[in-house]
Amino acid sequence: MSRYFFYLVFVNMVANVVASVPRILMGYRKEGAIISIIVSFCSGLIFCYIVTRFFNSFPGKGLPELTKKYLPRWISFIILFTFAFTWYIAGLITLITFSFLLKRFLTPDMPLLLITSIFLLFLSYGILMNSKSVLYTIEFVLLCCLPVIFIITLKAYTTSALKWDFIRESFMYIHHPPSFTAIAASTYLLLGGFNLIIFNRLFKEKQQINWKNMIFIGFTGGSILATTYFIPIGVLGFDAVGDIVYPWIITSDALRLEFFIIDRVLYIFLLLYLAISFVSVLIHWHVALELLKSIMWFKHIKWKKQNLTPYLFTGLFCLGSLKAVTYLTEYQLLEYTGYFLNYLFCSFAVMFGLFLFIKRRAKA
Amino acid sequence: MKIPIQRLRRPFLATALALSLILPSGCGFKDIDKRIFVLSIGIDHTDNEKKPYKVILKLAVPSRSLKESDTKYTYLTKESESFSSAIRLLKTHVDKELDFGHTKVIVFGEEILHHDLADITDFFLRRRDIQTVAWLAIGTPTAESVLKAEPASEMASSHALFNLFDQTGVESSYIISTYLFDFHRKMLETGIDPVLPVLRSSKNKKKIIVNSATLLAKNKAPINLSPQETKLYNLMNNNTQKLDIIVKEEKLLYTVSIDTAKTNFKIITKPKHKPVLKLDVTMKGIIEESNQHMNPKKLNTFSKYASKEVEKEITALLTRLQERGADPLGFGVRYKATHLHTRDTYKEWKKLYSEISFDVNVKVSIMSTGIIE
Repeated sequence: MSRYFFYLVFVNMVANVVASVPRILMGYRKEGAIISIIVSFCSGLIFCYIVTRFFNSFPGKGLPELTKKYLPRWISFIILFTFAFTWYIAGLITLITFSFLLKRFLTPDMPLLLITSIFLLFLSYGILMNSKSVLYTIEFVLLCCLPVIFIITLKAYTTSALKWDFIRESFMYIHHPPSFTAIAASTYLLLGGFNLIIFNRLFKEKQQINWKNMIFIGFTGGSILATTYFIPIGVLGFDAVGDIVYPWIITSDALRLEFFIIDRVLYIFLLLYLAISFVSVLIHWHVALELLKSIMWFKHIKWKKQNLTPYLFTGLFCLGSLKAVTYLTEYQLLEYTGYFLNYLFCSFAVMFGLFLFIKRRAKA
Repeated sequence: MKIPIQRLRRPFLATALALSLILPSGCGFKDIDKRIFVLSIGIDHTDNEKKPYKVILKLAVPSRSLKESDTKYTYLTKESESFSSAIRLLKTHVDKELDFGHTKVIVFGEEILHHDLADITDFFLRRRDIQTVAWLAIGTPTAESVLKAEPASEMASSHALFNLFDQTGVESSYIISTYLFDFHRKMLETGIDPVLPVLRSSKNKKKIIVNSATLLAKNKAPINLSPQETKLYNLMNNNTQKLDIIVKEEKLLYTVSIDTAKTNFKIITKPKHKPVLKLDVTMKGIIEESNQHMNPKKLNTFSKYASKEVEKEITALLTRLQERGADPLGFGVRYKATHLHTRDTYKEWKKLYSEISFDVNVKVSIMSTGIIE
């Protein structure tokens, strides 16, 4: 597979921290979180495999091209619109969560709206770029961030603050049945492959995902899932972690790099995640925008020979997020994120029906 | 050369956008000369019922150059019913913004230990700017006396309290460093109890001594640990590698300096047997001091004496803790971590702990008699 495909998968894995996944999992630590993680690991890998295999058989084509070719127009419209909306919300959740984080930790004196607007300024420029440039941006940001994230993770595993007894204690709740919300939340980590619905347009060469690729994704996904869940428990304590709103942020604060320029890992961590969450929102909103463009194109809105449709959608995206960021409280955000992740899990399961249908039509 | 105005539009727009970014930074950010850094916070209990807390802040006074400056600190104190209101009021006592980003030590007065500590740490955890890697300590007789002590060896920009707990300056097996997050997790978790170091200031405020500790068992009166017990706690909790053992055997008196130490423990419960807590300590070191000639052939015997001595001391400490129902090493957590939670394992452990017997095995290996025999 092309390396750009792996970047798409990785961004979701790493960005789970700002999508409230750890917090949701911590809430279920006494109600079957571990089994849920194992279940979601399997289901996520299967999802990833199916979606990649599907798009591998249509090189160079995104979902809009396929639905238009093989489905009636109105069904295609509904499906693409729903997906566009889903992807928009996925990006929105990351954006709002990170704006809250910035407001809380980095720039407490700055108004929330201003933080979000600056974010949106760069995002708007980013999502209007063509898909190829978006992929290059992702590659660059990831290559800069992944080594540092790796070092912080290594530090987390080797620090004396990590008490393995707490982690072992969490295993003692393994006999509880899994919970749907926890499964849905942790599956989010492995859903990055679904961005192919647009980015497959760029993968024009015939390629096939093989078992080596899957083992690679499974290995990294599995270790990131385990890290996401167990490290905060080991550092913050099995009972105490339940009260903490951002488990991973506080975990990073509990690590200390004594001999580094900044000994508070929290700030390095936040800056890293500033980049990661930017890329994550960039991908999601770019997909949402391209989907919208494929179903709605206003020929008449023109200014100096340039069609303004994408700008219109971008404007709507920004307005929606500015409204949401002022309206939501932290608790509501968490609650709605939980609902959204549940919905995401179900909708992707439904998506496979669509894939099957398209595949049959294509064969016929 | 004439450039058409159309072509200038894009650069102009880009410049305008870039310049507009200056505006937001102007209102959210305070320059460093408008800030004053709080180094440590002290909390004492007053007898005044309406204003039970006395908050003391130690501030670093900025100086122009390192050469000419003496160590300069200034203090703010305020009595109030809550920390936030005290700090809001203290803000009006200085002309600069109080910055808690460098607060690394929080000292509780001895008196306050008899009140709910979870209440007090709440403020520090909830606030974003206080590090969760701040060290907690207990000040005797009061937190104020400890904060206001300025040891003679203290230099500008190197706060003595920081150096005591950060094990990069002084390293000692008598010092316990407890981070805020560590204290918090041990306060909330059942089956493990937090231990805080005790800072003692001398009367002339020129010295701070830290070599004992207080164990805060849940729902129990605080238990004071002597320096010797503090050292043993550090040893058993794998906090320290370097310590000394004094051995007295008949007329022979010698000191072993340990440089590697490791402790493991295991809870053994067999049906129809008394529960046993097996604690293994392995240590390696050399002889540092002796009142007699040390025969290198008898190193094994010396090791054995040392092992027995430590075994005795550890067993005595563990028994004392067991009698008081305190568990600083997390035996309870280990029990919870090794038994499936199909029933209330902690309740089970509480019953077990009162009747458990200790099997302490210490293995000291003395590698050398030092430079001389």
